[in-house]
Amino acid sequence: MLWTVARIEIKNLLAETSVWLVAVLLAAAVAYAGWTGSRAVAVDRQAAVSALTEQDSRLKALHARMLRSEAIGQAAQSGDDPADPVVVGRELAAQLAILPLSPLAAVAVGQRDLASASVRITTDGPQGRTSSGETALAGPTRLMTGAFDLAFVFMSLLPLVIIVLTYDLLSSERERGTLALVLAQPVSLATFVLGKALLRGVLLCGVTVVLAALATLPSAPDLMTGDGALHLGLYVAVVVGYALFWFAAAVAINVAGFSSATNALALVGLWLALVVVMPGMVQVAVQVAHPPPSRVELVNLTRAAASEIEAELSALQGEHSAAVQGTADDSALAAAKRIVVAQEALEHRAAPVMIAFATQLAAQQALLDTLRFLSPAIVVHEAMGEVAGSGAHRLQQFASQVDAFQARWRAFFFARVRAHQRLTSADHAALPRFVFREEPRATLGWRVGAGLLGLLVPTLLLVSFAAIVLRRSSRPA
Amino acid sequence: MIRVVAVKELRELLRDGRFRLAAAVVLGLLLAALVFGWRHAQAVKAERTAAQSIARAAWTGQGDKNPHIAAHYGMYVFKPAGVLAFVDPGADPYLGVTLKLEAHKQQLPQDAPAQDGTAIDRFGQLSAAAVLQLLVPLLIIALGFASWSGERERGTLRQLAATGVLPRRLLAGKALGLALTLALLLVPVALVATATVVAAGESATAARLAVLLGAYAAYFGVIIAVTLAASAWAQSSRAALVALLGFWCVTTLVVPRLASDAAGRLLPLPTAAALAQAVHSTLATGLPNGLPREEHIDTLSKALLAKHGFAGAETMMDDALLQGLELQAEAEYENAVFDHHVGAVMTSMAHQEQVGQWAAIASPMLAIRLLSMALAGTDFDHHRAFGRQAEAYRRGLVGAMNDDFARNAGAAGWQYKANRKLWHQAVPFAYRPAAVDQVLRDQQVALAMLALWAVGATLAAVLVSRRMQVL
Repeated sequence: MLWTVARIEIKNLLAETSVWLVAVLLAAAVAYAGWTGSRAVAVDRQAAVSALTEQDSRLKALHARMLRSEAIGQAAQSGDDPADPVVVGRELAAQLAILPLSPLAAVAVGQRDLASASVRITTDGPQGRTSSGETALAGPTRLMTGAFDLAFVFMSLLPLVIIVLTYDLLSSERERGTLALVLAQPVSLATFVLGKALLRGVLLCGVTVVLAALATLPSAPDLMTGDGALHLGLYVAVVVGYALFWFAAAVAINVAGFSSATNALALVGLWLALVVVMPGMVQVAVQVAHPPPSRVELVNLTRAAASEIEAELSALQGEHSAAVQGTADDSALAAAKRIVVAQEALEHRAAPVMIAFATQLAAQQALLDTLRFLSPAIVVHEAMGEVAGSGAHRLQQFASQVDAFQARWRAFFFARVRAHQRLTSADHAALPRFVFREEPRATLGWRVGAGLLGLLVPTLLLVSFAAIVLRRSSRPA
Repeated sequence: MIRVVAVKELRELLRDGRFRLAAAVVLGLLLAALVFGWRHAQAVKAERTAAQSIARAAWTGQGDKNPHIAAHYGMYVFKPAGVLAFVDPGADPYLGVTLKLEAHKQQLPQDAPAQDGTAIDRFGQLSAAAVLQLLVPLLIIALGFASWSGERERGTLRQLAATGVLPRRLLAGKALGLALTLALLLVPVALVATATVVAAGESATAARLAVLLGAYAAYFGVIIAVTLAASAWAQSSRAALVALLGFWCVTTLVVPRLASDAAGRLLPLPTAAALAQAVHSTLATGLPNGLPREEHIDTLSKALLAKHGFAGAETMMDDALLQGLELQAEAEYENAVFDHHVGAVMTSMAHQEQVGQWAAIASPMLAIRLLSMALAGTDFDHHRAFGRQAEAYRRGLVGAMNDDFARNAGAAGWQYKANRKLWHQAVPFAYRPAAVDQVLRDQQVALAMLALWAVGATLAAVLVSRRMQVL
């Protein structure tokens, strides 16, 4: 009997033009998002590659100059001296730390367009650190609107498509009067609904899986590398889980017995509540619970802390460049050492404020990791960022690895400045290099897995609600 | 007749439990967003005012030093929050706030608030503007999708037609009924908001708010007309509802993203690194199609000499005077380079915004969003104006410092030190937001698009209701 219901249902479905229309629109949106996403990733990757190539040739040239000056035993001009640890650490050997793109980067822009995914590392402290800006500038409206990426299509548009296709699953039969005819046959309401829902659910899952997977085709070569397969699996699971949640919601509202129009309004209301209102409320909650320190105040704070040190610093730097004009004698190295001491004092003063920023952001993220379960849309948004490697967690790790690397970088040069040593070609060959270490795949798996659970639980609740209502109405009066 | 229909519609809606629920939710969200927004805006205002006075104190209290060194030391300015940011924070979270003004460098405003947030911020703030732009249209759709089709389905449309009322009048009555219902909900809120702004003592802001409210009224008018047109045109209430929800989804979700995507593609921006590199290398060599650096500076300093009446008398001038003028010539050269590169990027960004205005032809929501941001003073135009005014101020400040060097350094040269008297002579920077008429001129395309939508949707509603099938 179930089979018959499903067979009739598929005939009905295929005969409806609106089904085809909506499916084609969704496919077009997915295709467009997949295409633009992969294009943007290609541009970013190209920018990173050329920045690194430029850096390589710069460092090679520096090394060559070092070798030459060692050979002739003559120091170069100050400010351009490959043996001067101050100038090399601050300027000449400045190193780019770039967050590599994940295999599925095309899925979600995430925070990549805001947080700096590439940083120019010098011996200047963290607050003097600038984003090297290897991503294209984006206008404010663009940042505010968000990108038309796959994460947007699946999080915002897919539920609406599901709503359009299922809001009148049962109510239309009732309104057309066909439900009574069907139930006059030897079929129970439960079997009828189950047949319809199962068929649509299976079709929906199939189409979603195919679309979601096809959309990542442009990134196919990358998927073979690293954790590509794991990310792909998690991404497809999240999309399907989310689709099932909305489908279950539509079925549940249908068995409650309202009119088609009420169903549609209720489902769109639910969409609005989960995709627009709830995230807005969670945002407010996160901001209120852990307000970030004010950048505006930080500017004045560091300036006040720094002003006397800065004054000393600029005086010393003048002395430094004046003293090493042409040669590098002891007075220049002594001046360099005092610069280092002054710089470290400045860091020390600013450190608590920088730490406060990191702490508040981490607290915000931790709260968000819990509050995300209030709305499946937030769960999906976070999970998409995770699998695309553009989520807050990965960017946070990048930031802390950059901090650690910079500490190494400064230690490398400052040790030589303190010891009154000039750099040698061996030092140049041993310059620290930044390599990003991904977090263990299990950690990411658990976080996204918890998100999947956050989709599954409400789905099961909705399904059991529908089952209870159906059983009650199927019971003979 | 129109009045009778309107009163009937109003009464019917007010009796509807679903309307009461939806209205309560929308009203609650709107009020919460306004209160939260107001408090946030006041906090931001206090913070930036305080920061500005500290920064001013740092400038005036910097001690005795050479004026050019003081220009290097520079000063920070902070962008005041948009005048109506509590109604519409607009692009403010994504725009820089702090700007360092110093010699030889044109910085861009830094420290956009969104940098210190989590990914949840990207859903968009739950501001009053978001409620008005996204939720209220949905409320209108929910109220009005069945206003024609429902009558047809219940058979009352035939009775109405039999009374000989012109469809035009019926339409006007229905539209008026919807508008009145909405007004009952929103006008009190608008009055409270206006009263708050007026009580805060800002007359220019009140003018902006009045225009803003007018624009929103027009936007709601468009949605009402579209809803009535769809309701009359559709075969059934269900079809009308689905079509209207599709319209809402496309105009508020899809078109804005496609438009900003297209704008980014049509007018690509360089990477920040490429921009910095371009400025750096041009500063070192010379403007493309222009003189090489040294010659350019030479020309500028000759012009300066001539302006001060020293042409040809370089050898007789004291060193400091010459050096001060040369510093100024260098600064002017750098300004030309900044105008060339940074100016180009800013123009591209402004053109991107312009694309958004044109894209409003496909979405009335885009039009109201741009208008609302502009009137609230939280859009890119205002940001750019702030940047321009600050840059003009920076040039004046650096010029004044170099000028003091040239006039007063004398034999002391670089050892010459100016004191607090000079620091106090620099009047504090004050950002002046554009007047309302300027804002409207900047947004004329968006205004035209909104007007086009109003005319088009009204026309559609009239035409469809005239040809409507009664049975």
